[in-house]
Amino acid sequence: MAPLFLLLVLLLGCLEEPALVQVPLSSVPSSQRVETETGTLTLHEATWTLSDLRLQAPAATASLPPWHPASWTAVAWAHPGHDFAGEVWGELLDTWTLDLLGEPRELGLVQVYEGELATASLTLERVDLQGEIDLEGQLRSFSLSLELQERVEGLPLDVDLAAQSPGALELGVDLAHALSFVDWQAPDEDEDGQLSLSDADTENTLRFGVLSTPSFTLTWER
Amino acid sequence: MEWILLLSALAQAQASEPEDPDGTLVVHEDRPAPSGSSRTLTQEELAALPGRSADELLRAMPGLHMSAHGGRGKAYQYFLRGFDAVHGGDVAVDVEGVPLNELSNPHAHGYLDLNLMPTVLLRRLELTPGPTRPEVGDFAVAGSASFMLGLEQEGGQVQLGLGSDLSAQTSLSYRPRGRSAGNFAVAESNLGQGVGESRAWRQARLAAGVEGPQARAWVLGYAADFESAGVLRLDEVDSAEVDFYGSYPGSGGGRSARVLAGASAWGARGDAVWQGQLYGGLRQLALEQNFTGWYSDPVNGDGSLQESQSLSAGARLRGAWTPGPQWLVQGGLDLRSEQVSRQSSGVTPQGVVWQAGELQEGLHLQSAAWLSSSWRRGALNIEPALRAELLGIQRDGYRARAPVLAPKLAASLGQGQLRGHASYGRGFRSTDLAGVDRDGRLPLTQVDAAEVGVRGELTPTLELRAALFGSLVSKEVVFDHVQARYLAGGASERMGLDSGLVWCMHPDLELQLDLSLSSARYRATKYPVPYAPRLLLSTTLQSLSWQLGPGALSGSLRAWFLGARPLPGGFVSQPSSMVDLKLRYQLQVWAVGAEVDNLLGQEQRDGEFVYASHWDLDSPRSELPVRHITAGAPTALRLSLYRSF
Repeated sequence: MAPLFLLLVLLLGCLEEPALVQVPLSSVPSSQRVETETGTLTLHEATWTLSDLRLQAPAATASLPPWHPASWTAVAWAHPGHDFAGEVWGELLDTWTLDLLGEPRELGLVQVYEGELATASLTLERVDLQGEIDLEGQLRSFSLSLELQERVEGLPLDVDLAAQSPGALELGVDLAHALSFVDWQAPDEDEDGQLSLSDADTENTLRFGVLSTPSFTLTWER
Repeated sequence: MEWILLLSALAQAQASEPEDPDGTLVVHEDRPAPSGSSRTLTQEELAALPGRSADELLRAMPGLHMSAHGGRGKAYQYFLRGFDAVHGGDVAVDVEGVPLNELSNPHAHGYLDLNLMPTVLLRRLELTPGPTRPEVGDFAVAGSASFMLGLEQEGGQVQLGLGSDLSAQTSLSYRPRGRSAGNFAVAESNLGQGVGESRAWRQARLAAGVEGPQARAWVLGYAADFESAGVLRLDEVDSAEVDFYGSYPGSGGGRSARVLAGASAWGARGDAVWQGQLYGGLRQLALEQNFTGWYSDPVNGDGSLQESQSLSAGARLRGAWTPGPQWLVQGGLDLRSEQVSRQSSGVTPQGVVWQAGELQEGLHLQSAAWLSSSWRRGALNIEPALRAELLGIQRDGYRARAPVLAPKLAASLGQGQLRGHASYGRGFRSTDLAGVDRDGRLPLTQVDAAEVGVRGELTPTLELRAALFGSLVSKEVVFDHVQARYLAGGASERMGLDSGLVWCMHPDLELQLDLSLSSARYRATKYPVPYAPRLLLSTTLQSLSWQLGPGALSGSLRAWFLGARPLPGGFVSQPSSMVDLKLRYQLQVWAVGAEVDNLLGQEQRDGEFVYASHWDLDSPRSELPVRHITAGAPTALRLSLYRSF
């Protein structure tokens, strides 16, 4: 009878499923001063409009049979460079216009299933930046506004919600990375007296930078 | 004549047993069953079971669970011994030896729609869990079933029925007096509105058969159209945005038609018997479905229309020989072809095709030879068998082939009341048109299954069977209903227990209790195989003929309980249960019948699925997986009046 009992325990037990929990999401401000390779930026306005944060579980990309010599690795998980996102495991659908230079802000409660989280994604709708850059003593102002509506995928997030004590998610923007691709010494082609999108390839480089995955940080804070 | 009768006649002849004085062939099947869990149901037992269609009678298979998520007309979804057989991919079913699983059906390879067969015509049903029968090939992975046709009752019978689900049934069957059960004509119609939304159906069946001393022919015809209530988001059911028996716009439905005919001849010479059979069929199916609303396409919706036409033909030759008193050798040759044409298109909720899909055409060719030898010495019976099969597909000018060898071995030991059984068998499932590539490879799914158990009578009124089973699948292929595509799942393993008790409580009353436990996992990840049941408990209280007053009562009260099932992503389904009742009171040439679906009026979740969908266009499109359900059968009462003539 013992094997039968064990079988019953095996079959009838261990049938828990991931619970849907609510995790607070807040924004963290960015620094007003940003160091670039060509000079120091001082931002007067940094307003980004973001929407629809989604959290994804790890995605298995391949598995090996048990007799394979490398079977101890068992499963190859998706990783940067092979960014197959896993299934959406959490979500907060809303639109936020964030003053990155302002105070931290509560953005809402993310509905998320307990379990491992590996990546996140969000939509960047609009970017407005104003300020000036100190180019070896010469101040040059800039005013940059981009309409985007682009999805940013693969934000790294290493959290096991089932194992975590209560906490919250914090979303930040790394302006140093986002603005690092812009040529701040580009000629003033439209002769408006400041650096603007129409000057040289500023629109492209700014678009590339703000949509770059490392421009965003999503961290778990207790 | 059925093969089992030929074999019995052979055994009789060898034992020099005289026929009954009136010339009637008396059949005594003393050959041990190929599986310790197999079950054979007679016409009386089948008629007493609840179930509107032949599909539902398969619930008598030990360990089999069925789910209907597509309305009254679409194939059921089958689960057996840890397998999610989808719409039949792991359960081989035949009628009179003619395979019914449809090759390359656009909805699911091995699609099993048994609505073709009038229930009044079902004379015998053999149910065999596991891949132990050598005479069955493709799709016999988790188990197999064989239906035999014939009318037991001589003369005619007319049935008129009405149901509280706004349904009506009429049936007319006739067997000429003095002729065998293979001579019949049957006409049936069945239509209804159903309880709730999008559940209407219309079905018509015709069947005819002629049988002589050494030959037989039969034809079955079926046409139907039906609605499907589809899936519902559980959060919207819980918030009363949609009724439990409601539906979303464009939830689907279908049209189905099939004609199948077979002709066979048989003979005996000395210590041998043979049977040859030719068969052919025509099939048309159109299935409309939408499981995700406007999730992928916010303009036209995610609805799809799957259409297929097929033409099948085949031949079978079987022979049996008894070289000695304790030795039976059987063998057979099978040929099967199926020309398939199929297409999957995008449709709006109004049923308008907005995106015509690619037309796929192909030809399946299958040929097989099998041999088994049953040898008995004292209490021991051993039956080794081998099936060799060549599976082929021709498509777009190229061919793919795969040979497969399927060895089997069954042994039983014991005398008198209790016998021990052990068996091993290899089963396999072919691939559909989409699964072949231009280099000629035809990937197969193979299973190696073993079983050991006991079966017999504990007391004159108590019968027991219990078997431990295990199986290894080389390469699991999972059918994703949401995307209508196949996903490779790697190797998997299953183990479990199949057990049952039959208690004759009274000379006219029998209680059956079946308990099945199974565990199914992928070998590499140890993840459970989704949807596969772990616990199924089923009980049937049945009377085949109980003299009550001037007439006789027959019928069944059946209840089943399905334990929680693993779902994809680590989710778990709710346990569910159902109680159905069927009664019939026969008084001379008249009879009245009552059948109740879902006697306790439960809101049973027939299926549970977890994925993202978008039905409310006014709400933001969420990608979070949520629980969806298909509603089980609502409570309905059907009353019928029968008159024999």
